[in-house]
Amino acid sequence: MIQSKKFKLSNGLRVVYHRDESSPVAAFNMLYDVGARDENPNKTGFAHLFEHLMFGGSSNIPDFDGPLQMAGGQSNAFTSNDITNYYMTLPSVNLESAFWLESDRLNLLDFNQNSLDVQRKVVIEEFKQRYLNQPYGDVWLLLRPLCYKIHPYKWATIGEKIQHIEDAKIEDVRAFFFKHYTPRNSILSIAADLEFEKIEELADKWFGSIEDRSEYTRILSPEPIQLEKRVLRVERNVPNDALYIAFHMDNRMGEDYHVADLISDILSRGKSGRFYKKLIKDNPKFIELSAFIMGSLDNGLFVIAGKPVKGTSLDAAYDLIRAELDLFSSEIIG
Amino acid sequence: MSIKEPVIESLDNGIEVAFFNLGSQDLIHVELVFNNGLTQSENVIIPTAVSELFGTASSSFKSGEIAEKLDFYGAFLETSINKDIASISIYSLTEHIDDVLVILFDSLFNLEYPQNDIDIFLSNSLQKLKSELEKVEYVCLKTFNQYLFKDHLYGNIISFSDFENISSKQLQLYFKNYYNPQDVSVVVSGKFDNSSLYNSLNNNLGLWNGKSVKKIIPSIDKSDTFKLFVPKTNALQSAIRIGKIISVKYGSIDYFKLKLLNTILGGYFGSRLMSNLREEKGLTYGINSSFINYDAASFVVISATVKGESTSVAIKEIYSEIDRLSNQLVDNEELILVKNYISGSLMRTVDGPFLIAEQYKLLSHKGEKLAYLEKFNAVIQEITSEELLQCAVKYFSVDSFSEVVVGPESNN
Repeated sequence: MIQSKKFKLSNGLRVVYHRDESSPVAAFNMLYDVGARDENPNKTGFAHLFEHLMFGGSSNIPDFDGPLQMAGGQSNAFTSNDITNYYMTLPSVNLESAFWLESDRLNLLDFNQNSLDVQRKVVIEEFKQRYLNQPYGDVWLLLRPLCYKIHPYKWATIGEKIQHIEDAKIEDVRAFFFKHYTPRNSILSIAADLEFEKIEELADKWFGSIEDRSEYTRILSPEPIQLEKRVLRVERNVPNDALYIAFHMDNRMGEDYHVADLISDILSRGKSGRFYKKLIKDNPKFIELSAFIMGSLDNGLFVIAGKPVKGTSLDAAYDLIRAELDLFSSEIIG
Repeated sequence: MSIKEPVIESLDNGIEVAFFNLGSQDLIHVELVFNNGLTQSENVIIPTAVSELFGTASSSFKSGEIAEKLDFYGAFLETSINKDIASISIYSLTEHIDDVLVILFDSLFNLEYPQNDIDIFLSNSLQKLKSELEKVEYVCLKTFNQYLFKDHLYGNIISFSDFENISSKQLQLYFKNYYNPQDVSVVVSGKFDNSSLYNSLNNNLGLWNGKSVKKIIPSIDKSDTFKLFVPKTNALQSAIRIGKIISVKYGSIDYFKLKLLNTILGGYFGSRLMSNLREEKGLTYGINSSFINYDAASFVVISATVKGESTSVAIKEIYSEIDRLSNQLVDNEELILVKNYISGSLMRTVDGPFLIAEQYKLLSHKGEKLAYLEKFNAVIQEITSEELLQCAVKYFSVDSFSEVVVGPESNN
């Protein structure tokens, strides 16, 4: 198992450290407890757009990536519906550069109109590239609002629509920063070959003086229990029919979470999974068929996605999957 | 950065095994690397199917039973094939490696390709290909390679008819010919007992007989320039590829200069192409340039997916960045930054036993050792701006590049 040590600074920042003596490379990861679920319903996609702006320079460092690359490092980030996560890898000997860079943008981002203008365009191209300009790309833009009527999981991380990204204002950026980018709302985790005391010292030196800004209390309306089957049929010019079935499931900390995870594995993990054996190989009715869970912190989705072979209708495909699920719930697993 | 070379042992029939016993976790990765890629067949679907369906069945195990057995041990089998190399890998917990190797050896020596599995593979692959053909990036990649490697096996394109009439017999024959003891080397990494593993390999792979029938692929060191536009109605974005074949020897001084030049142009997040087209103009989500070295050809290629309405602006900017390399010295700060970035990247490529083994595999295919990485870094650090400029003049004249654009019609 991975051994780690934890500590907390007086401003609330939590730090996790793993010493890895085998590698000359250090990993430096900053997680913020903010995701698309924290967005204003009229300004969706903002957490992700904001992630792009975090690379646009901070109060003392005009260019984030330049100094990091100069130190032999590289960085990237991702946003989900729940979290925003920034990571760097760099030679362990240069680890302090990561502290310097990351703490400076947490301390005060440079709210820069030009950076916002450019990144809006970049994100719109990302929206098109991932969600619109390829077959089945818009599935999640359709499936989420079908499953969630109230909870903010009803929109995708990229945003509900391009318009929301186009409308983002610099005031929104500033407000979002002060609301969510605070020491107590983040977790720093590091793997490197340094003494633990050195990490404590560096954390205190670079992050210790950042003020403990206002606390954000997340109040989200839970998704009401779904009482009826919801079906959406969509016509698109795609090479093959596709079918997506989603069930509501437990949240990440709930006791049924791992049960659902295991069920998805039994159904569709690799070539020994039931879906592959039964519905792709023995009775070849699907080109692809998989089951997976979304892994979200609030109540999530258990999803089955499949592409039936030519000659198998979507209704027939649905029935085949349903029969497999019924079998699952009526028999003890051998 | 100094990386220890592996312990190398030969099996009784001469197969070389490299051992990287460096892990801290009780895991083991055994990889069989065959120096035969997709180019050994006119129809790439045959080697693709051979690779993809390896481990489906054997004379001892019916279709599906091997997968089940491996899953039972928590092991997994991974096969891959590219233009020059085919590989069969097994990952296992160290405690189960003996049982897992028995399954692997059985798959190797008694392998079968049930026709039913082949037919399912073919029809599903064909459907997936049709889906790929809807993507501008895929069409652009295929068209670009087809023209860049015209009349060469690297440029072979897949047609729907390639999926027809592929028999179990053909796959068995391909496997026998191209997965053989004279074309293989073995790389083992993780945490294990060297001598017991050696014995297990020697008692099985060491008895393997067979003769190489590898075809040498003629190298290709130039191509005619071409500029093509492929319309894709209703596309929101255009996929662009701009590049050329470069005649350069792997590991030569020009090769290192080109590596550096390519990194400056489009080989990292802060590259000139990213700075210009993404961070200044917002024309794309991402753009990069790669300097690729296949066994029979080296080439540089810039690729991006850009806003449809801005296709021609993007192309103009790409050429202007290529041109700038031959007209303007790289300033010192940028040069130092890129050199440092490359040093750091080299460290990342050997971070942990599995990655070290991966680098070893790639390097030994090129006839090099791990020490090459240190040499690479040392040579890169010595290159000057003047040398880069001369290198760009020699290889990067704008007129020598070819281009393919796939996207909405109105913008071209």
